[in-house]
Amino acid sequence: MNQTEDFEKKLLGIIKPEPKVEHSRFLKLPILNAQKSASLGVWLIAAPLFILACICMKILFTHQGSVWISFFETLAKLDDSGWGWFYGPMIILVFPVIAFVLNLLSIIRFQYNREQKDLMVTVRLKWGNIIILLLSTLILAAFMSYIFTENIHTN
Amino acid sequence: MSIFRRKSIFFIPIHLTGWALLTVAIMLAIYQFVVIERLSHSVSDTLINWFFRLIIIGAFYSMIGFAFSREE
Repeated sequence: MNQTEDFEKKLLGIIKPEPKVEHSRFLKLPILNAQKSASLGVWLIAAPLFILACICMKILFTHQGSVWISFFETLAKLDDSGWGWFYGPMIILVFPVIAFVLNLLSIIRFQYNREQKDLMVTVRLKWGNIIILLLSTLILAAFMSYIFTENIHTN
Repeated sequence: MSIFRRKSIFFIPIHLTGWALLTVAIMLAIYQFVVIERLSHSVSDTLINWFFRLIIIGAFYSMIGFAFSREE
């Protein structure tokens, strides 16, 4: 009987452990789902990559011109065709921009420390998303260079 | 509201609206094939142009799928 009482006293004397919730302050959630963004990104960069692949094949089989000049010629032809003024920029500018933004938002995570007033940005190494990011950057760079060279006129 | 389910890079309909959208996309792809076939000079000419438009249709369909899909 005495042992039971002692045991009960011991049980009552035990301090209830408090879970440390410190880690929850550092919980970083991605803004968008990485795999879902990558799957849409593939569709969005497929059209400009298809154009690039066609240009590369043309050069490979005809041995005429360069990738750069042929790419510019294709864009110029697209500009001149019926609805080309609309779907040309849409495919080569709007689609890669959407793919870039979606994939960027899915791999970066922000963490703001209010006490020290610093913002930490971490990048998740999701290679599928990173490859789509790089490809969309390449397409955008090519298109931007076309815009600049096409619209600079020397008098 | 989720009307699609993602499987790899494809968005599969799980709701009647999704199936309706997929049907519209397929119909549009067939219509594009007929239009291109009428104007093209060879099989490769048809396929290259049709494949390009198929990608664009797929991109628009996937954008809708992205907006209205759930992750499992």
